[in-house]
Order: sequence, then C-alpha cells, then structure tokens
Amino acid sequence: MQLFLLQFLNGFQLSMLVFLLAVGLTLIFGLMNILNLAHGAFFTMGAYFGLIIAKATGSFWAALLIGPLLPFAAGFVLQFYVLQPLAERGRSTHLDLALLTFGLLFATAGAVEYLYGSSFYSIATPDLLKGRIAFLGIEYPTYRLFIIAAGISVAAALSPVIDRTLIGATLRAGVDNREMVTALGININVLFALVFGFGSALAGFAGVVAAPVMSIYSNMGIGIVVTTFVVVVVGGLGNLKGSFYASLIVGMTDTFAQAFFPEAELFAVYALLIAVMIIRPQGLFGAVGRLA
Amino acid sequence: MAFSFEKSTRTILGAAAVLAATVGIPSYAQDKGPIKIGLILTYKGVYAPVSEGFDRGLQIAIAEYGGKITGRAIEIIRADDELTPSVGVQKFNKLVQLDRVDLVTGIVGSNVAIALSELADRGKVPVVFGFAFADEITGKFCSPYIARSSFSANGFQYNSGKYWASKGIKTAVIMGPDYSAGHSFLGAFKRGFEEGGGKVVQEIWTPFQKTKDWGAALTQAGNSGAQIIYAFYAGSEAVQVVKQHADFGLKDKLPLIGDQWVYDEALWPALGDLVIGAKHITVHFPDLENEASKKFVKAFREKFKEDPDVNAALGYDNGKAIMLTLEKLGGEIPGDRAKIISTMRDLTFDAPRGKIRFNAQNSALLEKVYLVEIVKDADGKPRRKFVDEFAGAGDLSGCAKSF
Repeated sequence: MQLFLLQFLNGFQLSMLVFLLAVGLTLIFGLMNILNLAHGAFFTMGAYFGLIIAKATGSFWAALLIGPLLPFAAGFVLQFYVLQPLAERGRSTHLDLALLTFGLLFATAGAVEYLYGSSFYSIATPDLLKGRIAFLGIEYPTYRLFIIAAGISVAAALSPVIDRTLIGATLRAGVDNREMVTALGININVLFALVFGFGSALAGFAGVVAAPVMSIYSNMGIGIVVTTFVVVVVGGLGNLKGSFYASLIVGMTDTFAQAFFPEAELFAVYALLIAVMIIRPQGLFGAVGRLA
Repeated sequence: MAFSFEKSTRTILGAAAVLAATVGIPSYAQDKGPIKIGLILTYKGVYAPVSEGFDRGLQIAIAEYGGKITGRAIEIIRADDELTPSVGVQKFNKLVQLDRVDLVTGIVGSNVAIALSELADRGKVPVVFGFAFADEITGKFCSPYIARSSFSANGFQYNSGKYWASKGIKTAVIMGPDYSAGHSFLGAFKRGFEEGGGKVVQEIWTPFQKTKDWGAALTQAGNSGAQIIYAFYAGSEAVQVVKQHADFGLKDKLPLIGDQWVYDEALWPALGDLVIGAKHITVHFPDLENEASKKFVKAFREKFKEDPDVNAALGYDNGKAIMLTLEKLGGEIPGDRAKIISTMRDLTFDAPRGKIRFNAQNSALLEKVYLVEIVKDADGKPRRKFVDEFAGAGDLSGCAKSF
C-alpha cells in the first residue's frame, strides 16, 4: 500500500511536470492553432536564463520569477515579427510552421551548445524545499511535492482566465473569427503575440522548475517536444482541462509502466496516442466538431 | 600482335608511373612525408565532452615524441561520426580513400565500431579503437586489422562484481540504460557478482535517452531490500539518477555505486555536494601514484590548465600505443598493414592506468581497476581518493579467427 502511494505520488509529480511543459503549447497550438515545434527551445531558454539568474543572485526563487522573461520576450518577437507577417503572406500552413519552428528548435540547441558547451548544469534546490516530508507512513521528497503544487496552481489560475475573462473571450473569438474581432477595434496581433509569449514563458517556467531534479544541457528541449504534443493531442486541442487530465494519464502511464511493466514503458504512451487518434481524433476531452 | 599489345601496355603503365611520381607519390617515397592518422570521434552531442578529453590525451602522447617518429611528422586528420554507423562509414571511407591515412583510431560508440570493423577487415586498414567497449568487437568481430587500446566491458566489470561480493555485499539492484553498452557492462558485473556468491535481486532497464523521471524505478529499488544499487549511466542521465537517488533519501540506505561515467567530473558542477562520499570504480584518476600517471598528469596540466579526466587517459593510452608501435617499425608503414596491429599486440608498456598488454585478439587488458571515493580537498573542491584496487578480468572469448 505504501509502495502504491509512493508510486502514485511519483506519477502525480511527473504528470504535473508534463502539464507545466504542455500547458504553454495548449495555448499556442491548441488554442491559437499555431504549430510550434520550438516549444522545447523556450524550455531550454528558460532553464539557462534561470541558471544565469540563480548564479548571479544565489536564489532559486529569483530564477523562477525572472527565468521565464527571456522566453516570453523571444516568444513575443517570434510571433509578432516572424510568424504573424508570414501568416499575412499566406505562408502559415502547418507544414510551413513545422519546418520553421523545427529549424528553430535545433538552431537554439546549437546556439546554446556554442555559448555554454555541452556540459551539464543544475540549479540547486532551495533550502526551503530540501529534504523529505513524512506522512501516512511514507517519506517523500519536498521538492517533488512542490512540483505537484506548482502544476495544480498553474492549472487553477489559468483555467478561469481562458474560460471566464474578457481576455480569454477575445482570444477565443480571435481564433474563430479574426476579421470580426479586428473590426471591433481590438489589436489581435498584439494579443496573439502576448499569448504566444506567455505560452513560451510557461515553457521557460517548466525549465526552471525541472532544473533541480533533472539537468540543464544544450539538447534538453529536443526530447520533450514529442511528449508535449502527445498531451496536447490526447487532451483535445485548446482544451486546458483536457491537457491537465491528459498529463495525468501520460504521467501515470509512464510511472506505473516503469514500476510494474518496464518492458511496456517505451511504447505505452504512444499506444495511447494511436488509440486516441483512431477512436477520438478530437482528443479525449475535445469538443466534438471543432476543426483543428 | 601479342607482343605489341604487351609493349603498349607496359608503356602505358610506365607513363602512368611517371605521371603518378610527378604528381605526388614521390614526396611520400623520397622525403618520407608525414604518417597520417585518421581520428574519428563524436565531436558533437552527448559524447562531445568524452571525445574532447580523448583528443587532448592523444595530443599529449604525440607531443611526448615531439610530434615525430624517426623524423617523420605525425599528422592527425579528424572526422566526426555523429555517433551514427552510416556517418562513421562515410567518414572512414573518406579518410582512407581521399586522405590516404595510414591507420584509423578513436571511435567512441560500439555501434560505429562494429560497422567499421568489417570495413577495416575487408579493406585491410588498421584500426585501433580507443573506446568501443562492447565485448564482441574483439570477439565475434575480431580481425588481424583491429586492435583496441581501451578495454572490454567484461575486463572492467566482471571482477568488480566479484569484488563487491567479497566485501560483504550479498544483494544488489542493477540499473542502467536499455541498450547494448548498458547490457554488456552490467551483464559482466552480474556474472562476477553472482559467481562470487551475491545475488542481483532486481534489474532495472530504463529506455535509453527517453527517461527523465527515475522516481518509479528508484522507489522499486528502495523497496527491494538490496544493499546497493550498481549503476551504469552517463551524461544527463547520470546527473538525473544521482540527484533523484539523493532526493529519495537513498544515499545512506541504498548507496548508488557506479563507474567513472556515473560520477564523471564533467557532471560535478551539476551535482554539487551530492558527489561527496560517492564510491565508484575507475581505470584512472589524476592522483594515481605511479610514474607514468604523474608524467601524463603533469604534461596535461601544463598544456590544458586542468586535470585530465579518464577519457583523456584513454586517449593518451591510445596515442602511446600507436607511437610505440610506429617507433618499433622505424617509422616505416609495412606493405601488409596487419603488421602494425601485430606489432602493437606484442607491446607491453607502462601507462597511467598501469601496465598495458594485449591479448591474442589485440584487445588491451586492464592490469588494475581502482575503487575511489570522492572527498572534499582542503579548498572544498571534490577530489578522488584511492580506496582499493583489484585486477581487471580477461575478455570473453568469441573470436573464431586465428591470427
């Protein structure tokens, strides 16, 4: 029973990490329908910028707050000055964007390797979150509980913004009928760029949160792209709650496969993806009828 | 008719010889141009730090001879195999056909090494592998044109298994990436450990370069009741395993014992104080007390302003084996280049890691394997401290050829 509880927490922790990674992409790809394979590049940028801040200030919390600013700026610039003009010239099919952002993903990894070499770095766990907490007869690393809390907080804070506020409503309206929103006097280009930047900042935030448990290195962003797309697609495009549940499914599948059926670990998540694509192509939690 | 045909053929051949002579071959034959060595490594990606260390160590060995053997300069031509067999083959062919290298060395990945070994055998090109630890390289794929200056997985790990079994460790969990190198290293440990009376109670194989969270695996290991975890990881995976192992409070309860790559100094900045107190096996460390090691470490520090890592030591061994061989051959490249390899096989020399000699399949053996503990030195920096040593094991058999 204790073993099960531990593994459940492991699964929950991994799920929330996956959610933090994927939530930005849910906004960018899911909601705004901009295919962005460079999401991993923003994850890398956030981690490295966080590392620089942590080194300069000695504080994890400063890194967590300031680290995401660089990917925010980079995301804003990318959408406003590159992707938006492309879209206006009619060059924004999924293939165009896939090629461009895929190139960007590898260019970022290359640039980081050029600047920082191929060494491994890490941000130290803050004192407050060091050690383990004992409860229900088990001991669990505090930092992992923090990751769970961070994931739930982001989900809880973001969901009402998208569903209930004017910003969310404008954004959703802009995706469905751009001309109408523009006609109403809203600068949709700036709004899109801000949301793109915010989505990128969330990837950067995930990069800083992951740093104390994983490691920071030039190619760190490349491997996560597939997992995040699986979450966004399984959850249903643009569906924040869907992404949350899909992260739970992906995280739990991975953890329990690793613990109890190691042979299945590598393909369990992909098998899930294929099944979803065949049975419910709109995603497990996607609204029926939305065109992606 | 027959006569004139023969004559004209001869004339053409003669003309061709003269032409070839004027174009470039004479400088080779008369002033004995440089001896060319093709160095294939993985200069980008996961194994970039490993390759850089090796390259530097090799440079030290060549510099020891003033960069020359009996007046002939040594020229290194570098190529990047991208850790991909097809790329390795392409670069190998370029080095052999275009650059006309006399021998090829380096090669980190066993996957690339296996692809090249057949090519070397068919093309009669001598190759001296500097890493490529898979047992079958000098086993199933053995050839008179192939030597390995490093060691085999079995040579490194089998006696480590026996050693830990003899030190009161009865149960262990083995943990490593699910690909050939993980299986050969940990497989060798398991054979030694179980023959020594220990028992591997759990085997954890994680998908190579796909795993980010080791929580599940470590929780299972923590629950297994074993005395140690014996791990084989490298690079970012090693960082994550060591960190998460400590996060779960297993450092004292279930120590993570590994090798020189789990606790590689390239990872120390990322691991911080977590490495202090860790024990691992290695073939070389900078404070090793022997003449060859002191000389090598001193030369390396002078040139690169830092301590050599184990990869640099392997590069040095490789360079030293090549230079000693060329010296023995008097700087002449023999007609049948298998003689380069057979000359190397007969060498015995003192290397930083201990005495190096080769077995009948041209694979270098480990005289000793060292157990070290990472401690803090006076400046608070991590440093390796000698704890114990044991002999390296022989290689697995499997070579069907005799040469």
